[in-house]
Amino acid sequence: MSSNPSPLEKKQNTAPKKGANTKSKPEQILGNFAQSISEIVVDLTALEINTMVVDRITGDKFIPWQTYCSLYEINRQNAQRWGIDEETQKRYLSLRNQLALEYVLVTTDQESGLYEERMKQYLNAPPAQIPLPNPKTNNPGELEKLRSLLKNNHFVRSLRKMSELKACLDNHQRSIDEKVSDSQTPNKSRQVIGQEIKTDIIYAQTVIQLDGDMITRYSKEILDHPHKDLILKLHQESVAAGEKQWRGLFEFIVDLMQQAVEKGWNLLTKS
Amino acid sequence: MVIRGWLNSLTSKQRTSPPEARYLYLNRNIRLLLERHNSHQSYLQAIHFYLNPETLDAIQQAKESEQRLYIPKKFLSVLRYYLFFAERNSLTLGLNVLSYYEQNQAVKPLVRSLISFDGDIVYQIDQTCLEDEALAQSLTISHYWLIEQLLTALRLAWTDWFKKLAWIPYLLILGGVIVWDIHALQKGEFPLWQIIASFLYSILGKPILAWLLQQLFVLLRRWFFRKILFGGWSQQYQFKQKLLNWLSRLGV
Repeated sequence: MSSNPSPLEKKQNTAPKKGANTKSKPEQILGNFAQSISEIVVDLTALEINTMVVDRITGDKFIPWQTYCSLYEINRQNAQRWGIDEETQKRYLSLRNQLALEYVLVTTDQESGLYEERMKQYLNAPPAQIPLPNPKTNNPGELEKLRSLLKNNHFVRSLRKMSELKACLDNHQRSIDEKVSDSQTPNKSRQVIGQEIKTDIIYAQTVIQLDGDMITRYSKEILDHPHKDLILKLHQESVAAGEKQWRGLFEFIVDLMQQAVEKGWNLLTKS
Repeated sequence: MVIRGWLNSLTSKQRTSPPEARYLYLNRNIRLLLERHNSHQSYLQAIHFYLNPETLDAIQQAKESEQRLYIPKKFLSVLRYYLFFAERNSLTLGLNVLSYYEQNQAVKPLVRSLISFDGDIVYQIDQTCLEDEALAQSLTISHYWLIEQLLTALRLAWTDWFKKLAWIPYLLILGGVIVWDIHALQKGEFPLWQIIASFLYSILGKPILAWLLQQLFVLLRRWFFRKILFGGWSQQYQFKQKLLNWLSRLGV
């Protein structure tokens, strides 16, 4: 973390100046907003709260291209080459499958602007057979397709969630690597070490459906965690806060529309 | 390129005067981390909260006494822009919030949440934090309180809009009241109850009308979202998108 930057550092930079940062026209700004809002209302089907204990919190940036590349290269051969145990391989592969499914969903949606008739045949196909655009290709058409894909808000939102799950798996693997190289545990298998590591695991997950139904799942690792009760308390705290934020969200969306118009009006009248 | 912004760089110096007692000032403890996307666009990479034992106590007290976090209007408008209006906004990318904690002269992120506006929340806590149960709870509660304060502040801004809008019916009715009073004066009959009614309206009319408008808007909003999420429009994807686009332009 970079510790104490000068407070002055920001003053010139962060404000959305009309000339620099907000070069777009008011209509464009309203358009960005309206599009994001409408997509979110369509995607909002349930509230899901996940509680994780991590080895360390990182401030890693989310770069869609990078995440796509790292998910694209997951396959069984690579996973074996990376020394990942059988159980974890399944988790990595399921992320790759999720990426492929999201791709099919976007490319078979006529509203997405990425519609391809031929992709319809993959709707019921095994995810491994779905032809994802290759980020390392030299084909300009395929690269352009990938660039457009990474501009699709729905796809980017899904990618962000996948990047979080992948970071969680990667960090777990890194902890195993550190333990394996530790001379005190020379004879243990990666799988056994993996089970001993208590971090980068989703311990509790609560899903609240729109109709009010609530489902909570716990990972089996929580049962023998020394801080089991505390993790559950913290999860409850997250659920309570999350639900409160979620309830306010409907109100919020309309309020934002209000403000969008006000903002748009101000920009229009001042420009 | 990373741009960092402190809350206090947009506000005046720490205020302690009595009228501000209902606010908690954490001027140096909230920071926006912006990332340059290209030559003229940046996006909100994260919101950082910098907490220490004193700020945790202050937040606990503020929560108990129902104080609100003081957020300067300008900071709020910057935040609103990056959350909702920028080309790469947080509605798409999610809101990434990290709480750093300062202890023994070291600052470390201990709590993080990623809030995706389509309904997914990932909450992370550093394992070292679990060793101190009171700290883990206090940090988590403070983390959520600060997020709630920021989101509530964005929501509250629209109440001003009703105050402005209420001027229209207020002035129209006031015109009617004046005509009515002049008419009564011309007739030479100006009863006491009419004087009191006219006086009360001129004083209380506008806040009451603003309140009524707000209530009406809340009812309309509930009806609208019930219809769009659960009612007849909920299955009509294309129509729903067009309607929302259209309504956002109208400001409903």
